[in-house]
Amino acid sequence: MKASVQFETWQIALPRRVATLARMHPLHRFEASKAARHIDLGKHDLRTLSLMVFDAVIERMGLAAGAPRDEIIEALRPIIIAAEPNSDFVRVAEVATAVLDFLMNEEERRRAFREEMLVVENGVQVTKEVSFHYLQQVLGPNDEPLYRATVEGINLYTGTLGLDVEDAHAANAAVLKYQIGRGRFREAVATARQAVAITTQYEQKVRRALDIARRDITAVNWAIEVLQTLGEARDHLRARIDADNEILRAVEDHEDDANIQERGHIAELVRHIHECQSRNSALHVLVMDANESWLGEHTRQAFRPRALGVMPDLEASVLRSSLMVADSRLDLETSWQLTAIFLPPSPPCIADGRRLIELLLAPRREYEGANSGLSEPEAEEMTQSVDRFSEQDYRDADTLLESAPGDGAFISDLLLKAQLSGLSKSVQTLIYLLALRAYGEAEENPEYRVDSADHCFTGDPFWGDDLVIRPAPKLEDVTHE
Amino acid sequence: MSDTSCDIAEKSGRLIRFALLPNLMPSGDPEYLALVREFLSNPSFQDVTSALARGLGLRVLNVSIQSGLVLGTTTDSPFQLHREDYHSRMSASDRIVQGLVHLGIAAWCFPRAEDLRESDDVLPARITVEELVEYLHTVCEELKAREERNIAAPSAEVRMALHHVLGLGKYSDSVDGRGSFATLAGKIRFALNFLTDHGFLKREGSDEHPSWLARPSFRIHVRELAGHEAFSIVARATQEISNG
Repeated sequence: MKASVQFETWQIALPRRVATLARMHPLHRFEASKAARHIDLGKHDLRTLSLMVFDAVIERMGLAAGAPRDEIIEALRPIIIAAEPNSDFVRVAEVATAVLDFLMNEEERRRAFREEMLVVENGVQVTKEVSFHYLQQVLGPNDEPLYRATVEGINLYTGTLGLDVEDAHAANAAVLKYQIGRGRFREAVATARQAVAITTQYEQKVRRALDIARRDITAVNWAIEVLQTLGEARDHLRARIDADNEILRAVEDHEDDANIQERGHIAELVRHIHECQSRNSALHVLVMDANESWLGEHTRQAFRPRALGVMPDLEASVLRSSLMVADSRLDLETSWQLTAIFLPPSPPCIADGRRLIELLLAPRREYEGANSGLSEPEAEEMTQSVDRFSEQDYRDADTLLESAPGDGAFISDLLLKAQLSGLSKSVQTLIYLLALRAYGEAEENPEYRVDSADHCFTGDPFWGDDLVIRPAPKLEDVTHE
Repeated sequence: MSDTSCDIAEKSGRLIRFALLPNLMPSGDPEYLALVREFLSNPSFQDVTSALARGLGLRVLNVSIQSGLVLGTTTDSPFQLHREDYHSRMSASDRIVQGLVHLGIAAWCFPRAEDLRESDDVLPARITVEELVEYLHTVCEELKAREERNIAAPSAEVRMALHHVLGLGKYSDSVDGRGSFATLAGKIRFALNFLTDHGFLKREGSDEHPSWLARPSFRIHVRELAGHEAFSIVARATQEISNG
């Protein structure tokens, strides 16, 4: 937020300006280290390509939530082709992907770029860190990943690093009016495009401030900081809406005197100014409603569960600690809880075919009578539960299932074979259950593989979708070191 | 109960029903979108939905036009998944590794607290099975090496959770390309597919080289619930060790 009007001493100005320079470092490093990349980027100026990405993304942020990857690649194509005329689509995509991956900081799992700087505070040299993103990814309305430029990214592109976005807005409007006043419409179009980018940047800034408040009302001081921000935003947006109207009037004044070539520029100019107007108006409505929204958020967050204390670092504090826990401390319940907490709610299963199969294959339960819970347990009198199927049943079933040839056999044929061989109904049932259990399972070292046969069968007493049983392929353990 | 109260209760029920459908976003259903909008503007609707959710053993974690109603579960909730419904045949070691894999997925996406504080709609790092295998394996190897340096004579009796991860083969690809649950890659793939089926991740790319993106609901779930819970579980287990 803007500080009250005061003379900016070097103690205040220098750290801000060094931070401005630091925000460009990753881009320069990217260009300087291109020889060390795993793909050949020697013919390209990676700074040019990076700024072209911003151009494509910011333009699309005007109309949608961001830019899809394909459209960014398409926007980079002429620049890549100019450097490498024989590039095919694969090569263009490869170079574009390298630039996108850098701007997203994929090497560091999309974390913020961090730059250290040494500044002087109260006569002592201290190390400060600036962290920032250039580009981020969001899901669009059709669930497609879209790239979006951050405030810092737009700043870098518009060449307004170091300026408050409000100041950049005012400076841009002054330049625009000057260019229109002198009939320099071609230049004015470029300035107007920059105006759209700065408007987008301002929108991101305000939305980010509101988003932080929306996510956690305890993280902001609404009464002091946010209300002041909103007040300034309202004033700024009113000034911008007035300035846009003034610029439009200036364009109209010059329109009649323009030649045919200039008219094309003027049409584009008007389009950009209208876009700024519409974005500023929408943002103005959002800012006007923000206080009421916050009051609603305050009520809503009152019932939200919120663990006390600060959020831990998942990697350093939780994952690493969990790996060092003795497994004797991770009992059945604890180890399952560690999985369960990361799973979303799931409606309880009422009927589950797979569990039914397991149940039918499990040993029979003894009948539990009404008084069974009251009887004294006597360990020496307990006998092992009787299996539903005998060992001989399992041997017969396995022999039959293993007899399936390499190209597979239908379960209907195997059941018929079992009947003709005089195998009991119990063995036939076991064959059917084992086949059902193995269907679609990626089990460790399976003995046979079962797939759908895409047709039905009717037998006695079995009927339903037919299955194909074939011997499982041997596993080849390949450990990648 | 008045007609208006009944009306709100019914709408709250419908909103919770929508929230329990995996992969459904407000943008994909006009009624869901309308209910979310009403929730955001009507305090009575918020109160009733919250109360209804609490009664069902659910927690309202967040509500937004983009992600809809994001719910979590309480420990005794009937909506918490049962072990058998997750994977019917897991050994004790499998269970330990699955917990670590899920924690690893969250830590890969949001390694530091500040990463969780990013805007809800920002997608964290793309996930692939290979990257997660290397990530978990490298962390385990580092910790094991550090432990061996610190202890002159390591006790053979103390088997740490990391040994369950290191004891697994990294990859084991069958001839026909079907993964095996027995390997670390297989366990990671299972967890990723499970989270995808239940609406936390979005799968992308070809079948041969799939990758996953964490949806905003996953960030919300980890930030509002799972991150803190995981920290508590691990802290309890660690505390028990230091207390002997």
